[in-house]
Amino acid sequence: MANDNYGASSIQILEGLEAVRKRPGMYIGSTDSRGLHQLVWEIVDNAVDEALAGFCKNITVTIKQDNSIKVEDDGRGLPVGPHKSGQDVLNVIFTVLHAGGKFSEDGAYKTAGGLHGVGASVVNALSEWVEVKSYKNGNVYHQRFENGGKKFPKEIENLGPTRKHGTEVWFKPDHTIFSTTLYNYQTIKERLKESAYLIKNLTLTLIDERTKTEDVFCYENGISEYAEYLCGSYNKILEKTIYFEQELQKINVEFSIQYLSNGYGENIHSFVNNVRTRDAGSHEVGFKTALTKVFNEFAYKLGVLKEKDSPFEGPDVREGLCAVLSLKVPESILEFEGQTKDKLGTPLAKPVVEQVVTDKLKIYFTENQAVIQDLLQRALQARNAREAARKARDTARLIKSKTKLEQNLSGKLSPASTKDARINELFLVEGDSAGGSAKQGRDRRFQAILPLRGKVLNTEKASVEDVLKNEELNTIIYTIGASFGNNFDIKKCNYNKVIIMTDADVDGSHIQILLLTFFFRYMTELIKAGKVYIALPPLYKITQQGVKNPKVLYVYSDEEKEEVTKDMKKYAIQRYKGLGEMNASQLWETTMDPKNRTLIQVKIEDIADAEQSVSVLMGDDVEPRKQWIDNNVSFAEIDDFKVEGNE
Amino acid sequence: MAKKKDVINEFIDQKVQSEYLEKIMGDRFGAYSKYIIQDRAIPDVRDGLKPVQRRILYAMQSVGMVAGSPYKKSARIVGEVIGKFHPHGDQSVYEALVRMSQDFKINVPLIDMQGNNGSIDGDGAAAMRYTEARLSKAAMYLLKDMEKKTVPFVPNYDDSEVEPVILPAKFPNLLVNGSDGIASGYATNIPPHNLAEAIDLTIARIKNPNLTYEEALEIMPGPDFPTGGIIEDTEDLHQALRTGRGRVVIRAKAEIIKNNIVITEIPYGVNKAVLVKKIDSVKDSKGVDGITEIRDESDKEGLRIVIETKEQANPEVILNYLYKATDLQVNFSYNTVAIVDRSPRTLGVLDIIDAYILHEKEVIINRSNFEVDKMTKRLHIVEGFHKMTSIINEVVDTIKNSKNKANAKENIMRLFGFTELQAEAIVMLQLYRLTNTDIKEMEDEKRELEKNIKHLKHVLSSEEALKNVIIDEMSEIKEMIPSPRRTVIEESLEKREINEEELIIHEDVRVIITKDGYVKKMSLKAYQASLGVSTPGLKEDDYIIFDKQCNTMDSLILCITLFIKDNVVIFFKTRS
Repeated sequence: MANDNYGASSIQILEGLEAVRKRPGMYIGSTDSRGLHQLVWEIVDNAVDEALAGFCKNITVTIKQDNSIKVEDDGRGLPVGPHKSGQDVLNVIFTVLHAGGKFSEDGAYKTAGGLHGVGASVVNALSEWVEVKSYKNGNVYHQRFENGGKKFPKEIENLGPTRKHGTEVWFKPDHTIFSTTLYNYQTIKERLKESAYLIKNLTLTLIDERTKTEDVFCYENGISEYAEYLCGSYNKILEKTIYFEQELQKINVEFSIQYLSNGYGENIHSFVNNVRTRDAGSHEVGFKTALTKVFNEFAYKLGVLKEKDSPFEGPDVREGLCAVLSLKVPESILEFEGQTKDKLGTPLAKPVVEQVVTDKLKIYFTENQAVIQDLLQRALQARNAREAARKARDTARLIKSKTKLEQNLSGKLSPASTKDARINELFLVEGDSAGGSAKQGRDRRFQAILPLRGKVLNTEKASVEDVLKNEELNTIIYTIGASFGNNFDIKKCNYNKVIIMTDADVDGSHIQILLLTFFFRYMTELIKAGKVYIALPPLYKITQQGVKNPKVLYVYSDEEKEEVTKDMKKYAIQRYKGLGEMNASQLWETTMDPKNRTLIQVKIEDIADAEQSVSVLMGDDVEPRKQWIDNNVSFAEIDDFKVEGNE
Repeated sequence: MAKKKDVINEFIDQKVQSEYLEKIMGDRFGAYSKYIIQDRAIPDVRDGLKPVQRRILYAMQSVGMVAGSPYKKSARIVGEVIGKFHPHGDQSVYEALVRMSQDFKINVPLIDMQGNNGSIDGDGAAAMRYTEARLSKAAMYLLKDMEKKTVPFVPNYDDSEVEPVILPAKFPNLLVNGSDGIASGYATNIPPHNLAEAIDLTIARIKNPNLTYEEALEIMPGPDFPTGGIIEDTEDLHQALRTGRGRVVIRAKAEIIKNNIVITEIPYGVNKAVLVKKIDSVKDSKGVDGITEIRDESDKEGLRIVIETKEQANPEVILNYLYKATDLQVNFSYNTVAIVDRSPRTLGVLDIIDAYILHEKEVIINRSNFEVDKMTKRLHIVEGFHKMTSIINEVVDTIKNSKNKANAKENIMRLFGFTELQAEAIVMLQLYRLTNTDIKEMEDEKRELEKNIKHLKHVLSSEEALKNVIIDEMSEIKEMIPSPRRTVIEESLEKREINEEELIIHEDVRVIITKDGYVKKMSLKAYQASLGVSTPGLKEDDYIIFDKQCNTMDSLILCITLFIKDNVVIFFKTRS
């Protein structure tokens, strides 16, 4: 327990001051602005420790005109009197390193932020001068140290009687040590505010005499208010901030929880003995573990997660979290990792915090089911978002790894014999039966044939994974050789023309749009570069009759048929419904021979329109498609299907 | 590289048109969707058939595979259909053929198939080289009178044949056999209905065109599935029949015999093998306790699934659970879309009936016109014969003195005033027809023809008479194809819900209530074990205010300051 007798005997002398001036970094981290402010914290922390021990209600920090700092508290006052080392105890505190009242639990403080007993002496060592006043035992004691604590009177001056109690430390940082000696009001303000939150009802006043500014901080509800403050101006989810405190195994645990309605990420501020542990540590680990555990327990119990679902992960339950965790750990087991007290190392802190938080939250959520229901729904949303993001990442990775697609073409492609990307053509042919005649009828020097089996996968409805698993599309991607999606590189394209050759019937049309959807979604550049074509097979074969050398004509449209047959007396018409109906030589002559054939080059006029029509016609949503059909398809009109593209 | 240059040169003057992707997508998709909707996946409202089905029936009739004739290999039928009318894959045609023969898929099979035509267990039919088929009697009614110019014909895909665009359909097949299909933007799902009810409803609507849905529902209260089962008479069902959109709950027919649940009918569309497997997995996963074994005992007698339960278990409760957890109960979603005037429409039952009646009227009018034509011609000839008998000797003499057939015709036409048609018939007449009996027969025929023509003309001129013809013909079909209702319609299935209390096992337990409102139920065993140990789980600052032995069937009345009563039943399921 804290000992009221904070007297001369409490102070032990450990070392001298010169080392501090030589290596200030070791004690205050740096000699820049951060180190400069560290001096203030050292003194303020001493005052706060006094408050923590329950002896101090008010602390005032004043930034003077000359950037010197005065810290006053109404605690017990620094001890004065002879110390067993022979010096006055006040001098010992300010001139000897590792002289403090915080080394053991039965000392003046049970728990304290100041740990190494260096605070006051380090400040002294790095200051031009330090003036100390101790209001104690009805007297005011005064001492002045100069030149980094090297020069001071042996005797403590007694200024006379007083009814006040407390300590006043006024110091001016040494400009030869620090790169800057200019104090930042805002920095000190934030820090004092933090301390005010951590100790309920402690009033902290900050006065800046340079600008005549003043701020007073005092919080009745402590860290609850802190958590709410962390939420800033965003909407808070919980009507009442969750706050609990419990002591377990001599560690006092205090925590508060609030959630942001539209926040991302998490904001946990943790403290040990009122010192911010910026790099977290064992206590935060315990807190997070408990939170995840309790959320999952309720999620399964309330059916938010089904048995087969995997549990929530930490980030899911911490999405939008604003929490403050404050521990009071006795000195005997207090451990930090690293020089500055930014990371708690005490192993016991983890299980203790975990148990306290688990117990308290379980009871709280049991009694406030609406709260946990709400939070679980949010966790679920967070998880869905996380999974979607992960999927997107995986897909990106998959695409990367697939740029070198496996070379299994299942022997379907009949490649061209030359490899000139400037002239080569790739025919995508509907069905194996037509593929056969295309293979026989082609000019193998520059025409490659890839037969496609049946209907191609609708890429508008399929995921990237499914597209890559699809043998047909996979083969097309590899054959074209320019990858796909964002990685598509038109320079690597193996062909000058990619020609879609299907039957002149509705299923052929369907295959055309399925392939165009694929090219639009995965190889937009190929279309933009004008490399995608649709072959136009003839609709009719017209054989003249009743003459000696009958003419054979292929026509590609009904209009053309009328035109051609106008002057013929007698003729026979054969209608081509499928590519398979043609012999190889006929197919070459009519559809594949560059001299005779007609191709339709696919272009994009307006990318937004194209996007719109692909997503409406091929997408997942039925309703817009139905609407489109109702508005655009004239069911009453009796027409024979014909291939468009003839002006 | 000279060769390459040649190739490139060849390319220069080729014909390339350009088109925009947006337009190509729209054009192609429009054509495709129109075709798929009109000509592939959606049935016509009048005969309830999709083109492939209609083509199969027509092709079979035209090659004589009619009811009563010997069975023919399915492969021949498929070949006939593909070659003449339907240039698509053979499998899809065979599947369509098989489906029309399956008595668990449609109410009135249109195909009579010999051999394995698939089963309710999802087994496929034997290959088409094994199975044989012919048209069923019912199918004959769909095709009846087709030769009498009752329906329009169009050329087939290569203009070498003609095919009907619709069948005469002497019964409302769309309702009777239902349909399902997925087109583009549109889909359809129509359940089968009872033939007799559908005919009665049609007749009622003919008699009273203002028949209301309430009245219609009295005649045809809901679908009738070939697989039987039980459906619930709900507002949802009424709405489905009215609007074409809605759902109906179908439940298996189950009986509890001793401790066994015996299922004899399963919901329409459910695969029995999959269902049995699912029930088995429920047994293993302990979704509900008490099932010991499940056996599929179906045989030639019919469908039978037996679920054995433990003696202590309540089979009612288990059955109730199985209804919820398995396909012993399913929802059928109506999406009554059919082609009307070439366009897809969502229809209510009466819309379908009306379209059907309109079609039937047209068919009867066409047929009557055809027959009047035919009979008038015959009458004319018979009248010629009649006239001839009175001047037989003169006619014979004239023929004897003529140079040839043509001259003979000319002469009798000139001398006796016969028409060309009559003269032709007379010169072609066989001599035996001049016997006494035959002359009498001719007179009878004349009277008969006159009577029939008069009747047909009446039908053609009187709406009432036309209606009566349809009514008579449909009544005949109703008699010829007996169709007792198989699916039972129940007022409400919810009545069979089991009260949760029945799930409770009767036992003594210890109940503890604390000041902060925590209630804990422990088995007596657990309670005794915890005696002497501090009560676990008790909240800080909380304490016990009630601690007594109770029975799970007891009611606990808790009074708190805010509300007066709160009846808490301690359930078997409560976890402590």
